[in-house]
Amino acid sequence: MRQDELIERHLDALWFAALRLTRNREDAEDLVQETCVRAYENLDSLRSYGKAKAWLLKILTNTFINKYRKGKLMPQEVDVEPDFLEPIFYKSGQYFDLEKDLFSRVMDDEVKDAIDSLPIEFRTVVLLVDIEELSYREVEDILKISPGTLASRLYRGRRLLRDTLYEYAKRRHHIRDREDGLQRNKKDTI
Amino acid sequence: MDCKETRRILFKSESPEVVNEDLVNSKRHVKECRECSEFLEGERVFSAMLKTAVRKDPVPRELKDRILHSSKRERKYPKAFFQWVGIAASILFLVVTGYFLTVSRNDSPLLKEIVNDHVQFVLSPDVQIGSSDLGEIKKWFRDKVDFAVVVPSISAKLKGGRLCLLGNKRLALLFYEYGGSQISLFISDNPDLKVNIGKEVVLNNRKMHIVENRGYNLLLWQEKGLTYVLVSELTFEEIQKII
Repeated sequence: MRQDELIERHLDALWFAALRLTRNREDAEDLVQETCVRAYENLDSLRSYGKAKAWLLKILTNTFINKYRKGKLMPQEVDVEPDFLEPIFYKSGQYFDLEKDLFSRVMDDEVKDAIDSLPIEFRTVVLLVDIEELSYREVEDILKISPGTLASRLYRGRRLLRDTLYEYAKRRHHIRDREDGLQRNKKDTI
Repeated sequence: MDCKETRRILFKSESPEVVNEDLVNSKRHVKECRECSEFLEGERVFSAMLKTAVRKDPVPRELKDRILHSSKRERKYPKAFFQWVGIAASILFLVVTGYFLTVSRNDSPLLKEIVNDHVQFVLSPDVQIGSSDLGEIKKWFRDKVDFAVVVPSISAKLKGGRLCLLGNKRLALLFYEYGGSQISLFISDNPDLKVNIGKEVVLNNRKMHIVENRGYNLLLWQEKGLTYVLVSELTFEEIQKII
């Protein structure tokens, strides 16, 4: 495979990730271009074309940390390990349906906004694991974090994201809180 | 093993290569515990729905073109070639390349690349930083190239700049306009770039070289460790006025 084909294949993923990390279109353009320049310069370090996506996202993430965060590393450890007891489909004392009550109620842009609203350490793991579907090991390698830290951030990040999406759905009057949990509006339950 | 411990173990064990006793016990627990089974299924469903709910916008066309254009230039210096022929041939290659860059010819690959870049800008003006403020532009380049961008005084309207990849090196590329003509100024810290191509001239007390390539005039010179290549359709007389 040629170099430009390799890069072109993953450009949309790089663009999406850059937008989520920088939350700014201009910075995202710079970040993607810088990533590609570094990728061309270091193509020798790519061991397998099958790993190209993870390799490019690693360059992008490192460039983002070094440049846009001025070398400031992301928090390395989450203070307290979560209890892993709260199901993601449980909110305000009520179980709900992830598809009917949440994802079908929000717009595409709202999902992106919700991801963008996450603190950087949670945003990054949700982006790399859930959106880009990298393996846990690849993400641990990119972010230089332990499996336990990755699990904690993923657990917390998904719940923060769920809460934000829940608020968006509520704002659009699709769902509302009841004292004993969630309730869908009548017109939405048909 | 309780629910908390089971979920903690399974949450961080995506596809463990080492199956230990804890993992076996956790999986056994999940088989027998409906709550844990639903908990893990919820994570899987949330992840899948999140991915589906997000629509990825394609990368902007201009950015894509810019990146792939750089890549095409890169292919003209293939690393595979060096691997093929080995160190001895690499040395030979460098010697030959050096020869072609050194001798006075106006159709070297380097000049073609530079002119190509200039033509691309003329056809589709695409700057990464649009500004006539030299300080702002130099600041923008600060963490993008490995050298301090020193911009010579040029009597033309500064329009902006962008990053440029030539061979393996990152260059600063500035754009100017003079009398309706577009000017590109390439700035590099690569000491291997030869500027003694074409005809030697002295402008503003500086020794420079001027060469024509495909209808464009290129002015090349080195100063304080940096190499400058100015490209435009201006005549030599017009270039003299702005340098």
